[in-house]
Amino acid sequence: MRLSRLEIEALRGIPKGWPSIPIGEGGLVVYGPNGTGKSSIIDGIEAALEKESSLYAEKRQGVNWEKGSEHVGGGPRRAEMFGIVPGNEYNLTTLKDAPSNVVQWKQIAASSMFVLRRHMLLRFILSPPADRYSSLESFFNLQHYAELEAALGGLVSSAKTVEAGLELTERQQAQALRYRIGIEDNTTLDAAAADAYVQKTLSVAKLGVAKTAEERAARKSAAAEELAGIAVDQNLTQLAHLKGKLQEILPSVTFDVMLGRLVDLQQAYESARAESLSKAPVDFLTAAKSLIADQNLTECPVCEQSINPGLTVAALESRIAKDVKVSAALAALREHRKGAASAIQTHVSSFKSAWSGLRKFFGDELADAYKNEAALLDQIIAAVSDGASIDRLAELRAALKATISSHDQIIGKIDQRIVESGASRRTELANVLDALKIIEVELPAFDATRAHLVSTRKQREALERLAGHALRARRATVQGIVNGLADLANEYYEFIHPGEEISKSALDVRDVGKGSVEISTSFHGMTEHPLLHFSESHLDTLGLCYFLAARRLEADANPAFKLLVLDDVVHSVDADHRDRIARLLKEKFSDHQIVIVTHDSIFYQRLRALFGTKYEYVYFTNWSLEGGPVRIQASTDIDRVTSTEIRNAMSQDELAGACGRFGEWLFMQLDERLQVAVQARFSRPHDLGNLWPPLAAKLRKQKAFEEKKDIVERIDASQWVRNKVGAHYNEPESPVTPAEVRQLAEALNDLFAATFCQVCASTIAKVDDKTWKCDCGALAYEPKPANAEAAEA
Amino acid sequence: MGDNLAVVKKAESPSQLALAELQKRVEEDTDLPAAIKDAFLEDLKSASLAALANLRTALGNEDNHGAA
Repeated sequence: MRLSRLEIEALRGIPKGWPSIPIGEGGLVVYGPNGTGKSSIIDGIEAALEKESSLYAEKRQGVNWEKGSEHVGGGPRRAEMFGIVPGNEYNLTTLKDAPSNVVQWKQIAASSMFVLRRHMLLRFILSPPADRYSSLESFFNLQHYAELEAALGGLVSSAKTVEAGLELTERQQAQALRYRIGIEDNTTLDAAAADAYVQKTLSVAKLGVAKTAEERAARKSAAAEELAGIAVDQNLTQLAHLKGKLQEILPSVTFDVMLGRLVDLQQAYESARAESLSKAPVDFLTAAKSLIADQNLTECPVCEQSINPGLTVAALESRIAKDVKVSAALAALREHRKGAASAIQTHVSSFKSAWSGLRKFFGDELADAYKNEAALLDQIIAAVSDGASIDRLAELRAALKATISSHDQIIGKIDQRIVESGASRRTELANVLDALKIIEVELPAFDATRAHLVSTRKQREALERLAGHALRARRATVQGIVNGLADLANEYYEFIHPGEEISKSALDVRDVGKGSVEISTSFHGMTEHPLLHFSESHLDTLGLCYFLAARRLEADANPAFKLLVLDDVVHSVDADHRDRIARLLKEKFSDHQIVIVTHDSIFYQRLRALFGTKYEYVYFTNWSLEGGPVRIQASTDIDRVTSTEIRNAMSQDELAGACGRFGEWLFMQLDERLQVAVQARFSRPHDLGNLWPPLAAKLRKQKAFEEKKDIVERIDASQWVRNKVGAHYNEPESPVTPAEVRQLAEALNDLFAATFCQVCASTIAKVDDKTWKCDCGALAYEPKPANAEAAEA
Repeated sequence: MGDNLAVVKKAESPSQLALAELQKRVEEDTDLPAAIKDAFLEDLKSASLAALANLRTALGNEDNHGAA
C-alpha cells in the first residue's frame, strides 16, 4: 500500500477548493519560503490519517486543534488521504469499502511514530525521564504485556482491600475480647487468657472451676438456670445490652485506615486515567461498542458518517483493551468504596442504637457525642458512595481524628448503674455466661479471622512479588529495546557526523515509578546529559536520529506501514550535514514513502538530485488568503542548467546566476569526492575561483577521464562569463551574449552528465589514483584492461 | 553494537520478550508459594494471559483453606 494523493480544504493555510496534491511512489518534497503554507500539508496528512495535527499536541497557549485548524476564510475543513494497493485506490481517511490490509495499514499508522516536526526535535532529548519513557511507550509495543501487569495489579489491590477489611475485623474482635477478659494490649489473647477469665468469673460467682468441655457445659447450665430464676429487670437487661454494644463499637478513627486506602486508590485511578492514551472513558467506549454491535449500525450515531460495523467494533475493542489499566484501577476503587461503605454502615447502626440507649439512661449530654458521630459517619458513607474528591476525603479524615477515642468512661458509668440497681448476683452469673461464650464461640471466631488474615497477607505478599517480577521483567525488556534503539541512533548519528568523536549516546531505564528513561552522551571521555556539551545543531540531529531509529525499528516490526513525514527538521544544520541527512534518508529509508517539507533551497536541490523521479516535487512561492499556497513548476538550479527547455526560456542574467550556484555545488561535490586539495579559506566561503582550478587540474591528469577532457577545456574557456554576469552587483565592462552564457551552461551540463550517476544519484568518487566510480559502480573511469590497450596500440 | 539491535529485531514482539523474562524470574524465585508459582507459570502459557485463570483458582483454593 502506498499513498497516492492528498485532498485538503479549508484547513490551516489551505483554502476551500484547493487542488489535490499527488504523492509519488517514493514520496513528496515540498519546498517554499516561510509562510507559504508548506506545513499545512503536514497538518493535512495528520488530519487525514490521525484526525488531528501534532501542531497543537501540547495545547500551546490553550489553542487546540479544534480552534486552530480551520482556515481563516471558513468553510467545513476536510482532509482526505488516498492510497493505492495494486489496481485500486482507497480513501484512507474514511476507509469506505477498504480491504482488510488497508484497514490494518491505518491501524498501524494510528499507533506509530512517523511524523517529526521542528518543534518536536528536542522533545525527546529535553523531556524529563518519565515523559521520555511515555513518549516511547507505543514504540515499546508492550500493550499485551501491560494487560497482564494491570490484571496482576488488580489482584494485588483486591488482596489489599480484603486484608484491610480483615485487619479491621481482627482489631475490632480483639479489642472487644480484651476489654471483656480484662487484659492489656501487650498480653497475648489466646485460649489460656480466656480460660483464666472463665475461672475468675466462676470463682466470683462461687460456681467452682471448669477445665474440661463437660465441666464448662455443666457450669453454663447452672448459671443459666439460676439466672432464669431471678426476676427480670427490664432496665438491667437494657443496660447490659448497651454495655455489650459499646464493647463492640470500635472508635470511629479506626476507619481512617480505610479512608486512607480509598485516597490511595482514587489517586491510582486518576493517575491511570491521566496516563491512558485514550481520551474517551472506557465506559463510553464500551457503550458505543455495544450500541454498534447490537444494532449493527452502518452510520456513526455521533457524526453520522458511514461506518463499517465490524471494523468499528474491532477498533473500539482495541481501544478498550488499551484502557485496561484504567478499568483495573476503577474496579479496585469501586470495590473498596463498596466495602468501606458497607463496613461503616454497620458501625453507624451500632452508634445510633447506642445513642438512643444512652439518651434513655444518661440524658442528651452524654448521648449527643454519639449522635454527632453517627451523623459524621453518615456523611462519610455518602462521600464514599458518591466518589467524593480527594480533598473532601481529607476533610473527613481530619474530622474523624476528633471523634470519641475510647468508650471506657461511659462503660464505667453503665457498670456503676448496674451495681446501683442491686443486681450484683445477676451480673456475676451474666459474666460467667459471657466468659463461657468467649471461650466456646468468640475466641474460635477470632482465631479464624486471624488465620484468614495471615493467609490473605501471604497471598498479598506473593502477588506483590509477582507484580514486582513483572515490573522488573518489563524494565529489563525495555532496557534491551532502548539499547537497540540507541545503537541504531548512534549509527545514524555517525553517518551524519562522521569522525566527530561526540556521538555514542545511551539510554538507561531507571528503577523509578512506572517507567523512566535517562539519556546520556559521551563527549571526549565524559558521560553527561547531551545538553551539557552539544551545540543546538548537534542536539537537533541527535533528536532526529532517535526519531529515525525508532521509525526504522517500528517499520521492521510492522513492514506493512512505511511512511516517514519530516517537517522542516534541518533548519539548524549546515550544508554538509544536510547533504549527509539527505543521503541517510536515501540509503536507510528507500523502502519508505517520505514526505519532506523544507524552506532550504540547497537541501531541496540535494533531495531532488538524490531522490530522482519517483518523488513528486511541489514548489510554493507565495501565499494569499483567497488562493492559499501559490505553486509553480518545481525547478532547481539543476533543472535550470540541465534542461534545454528551461535553459532556453531563461534570461542570460538568470541563467548565469544559476550556472554560478550550480557550478559551486557540483565542483564542491567533486572536490570532496575526488579528494582534491583545495586551498583553505578562513574569512569567506569557497567559490568557483578556488574550487575549479585544482579540480580542473585533477580531471586533466586522470588518464581514464581523457575522453571527457574537452569538457574541462570548455568550462575553462567559458568561466569568465560567470564573473561578468550575475556574480557581482557592478555593471559588466562589456555585455556578454546569450550564446556565451549558454555555452557555459552546456559545458556544466556535460560535466554533470559525465560525473553524476543517475542510477544511484551520486557523483563519482576516488577509489584509487587511477580509478573513479560512483556509489553503485554504473558510472566508472578506470584503466582499460591490458589486452584492450594492446589492441588499441 | 549489533547485538542489541539483533535482540530488538529478532523478537517476535516485545511482549513476548518481556513474558520470557518474567517466566525466568518467577521460575528462579524460591520464596514464592508453590501453588501460586505453578498456577502463574501456567497462566503465562495461556492465550488469554490477562485472565490469570489458574492464579485466581489457586488463590481461591488457598483462601478457602486459610479461612477454614
